[in-house]
Amino acid sequence: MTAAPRRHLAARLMRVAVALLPQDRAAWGRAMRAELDCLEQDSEALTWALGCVLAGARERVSAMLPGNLKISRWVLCAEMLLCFVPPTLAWLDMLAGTSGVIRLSPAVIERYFLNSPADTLLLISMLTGSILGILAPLSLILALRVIVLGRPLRIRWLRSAIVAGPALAGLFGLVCQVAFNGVASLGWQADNAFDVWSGFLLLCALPIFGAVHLLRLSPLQPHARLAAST
Amino acid sequence: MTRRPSSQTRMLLATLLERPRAWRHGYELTNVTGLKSGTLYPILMRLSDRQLLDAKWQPAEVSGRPPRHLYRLTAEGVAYARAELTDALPLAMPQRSRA
Repeated sequence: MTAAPRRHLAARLMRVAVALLPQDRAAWGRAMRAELDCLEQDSEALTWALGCVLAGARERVSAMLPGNLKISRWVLCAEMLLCFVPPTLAWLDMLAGTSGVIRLSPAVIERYFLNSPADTLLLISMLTGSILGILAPLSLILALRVIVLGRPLRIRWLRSAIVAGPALAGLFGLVCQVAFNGVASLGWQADNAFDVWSGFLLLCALPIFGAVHLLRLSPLQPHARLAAST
Repeated sequence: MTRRPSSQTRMLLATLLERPRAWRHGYELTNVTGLKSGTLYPILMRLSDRQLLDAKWQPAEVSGRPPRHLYRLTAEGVAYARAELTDALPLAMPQRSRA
């Protein structure tokens, strides 16, 4: 790489580094950029800028860890909605939809769900889903409570449940999928807009991700940031 | 409980303690300590957050260039550095050419 592109790349990287820094670190971004302008050698400038990107990334991550919600509340709100609204809607459908659990009567159960082991397993999966699924709206409410009121989630069993719930549901869903339709049904189906993996992503992976992130931002113990990070 | 500073932090403290009243810029500190910018600046930020480091802007000597950020230990920082470095093992500090 010739000299001019290196300098150009260094300047671009420095812009990335400054953008990565949290707002209260903006002055440090100006400081790092000022040093870059004083470097004579282009290769040195590139190395410097790469280091600054790393520093910016570290600060960004560090700002998100201490539990003071330095990440934008609007971004966090959007993330939590993305993670918990789909399973909440799925739970509502499973509970009160056209074929919802609350519409099941002894006659319907006897007619449709007791004919074969597969039908019975379907009934069990519906009942299990409707019980575990309550964690989805609960997680949404807890997330909004953390975002709006800044109150951390302190109930230990609930902290575990909002992660373990979707994990169990996902595992159970995959087992049922294999039981009903065979292992081949786990393959990627390009012609099916909502295949098993789409469901796994929306109803299991995203809720777990959201719950874990929420717990990281809402620690049980206040984080001694300065003492721990120097 | 406050954690002991990392070896990089101690290296930086030792450098700043050599001439505690002198203002140093970031590039000079990377040259003396051998730390990369990605390691140096997070440490400087932490020290500044803890009021152990003073910082000021120096107007550019060459027109068109932005002002540079300079650093030195505060009185509290000097005391902290002395306390931390007293028990520390000798630091193997790479000596590189200064800018």
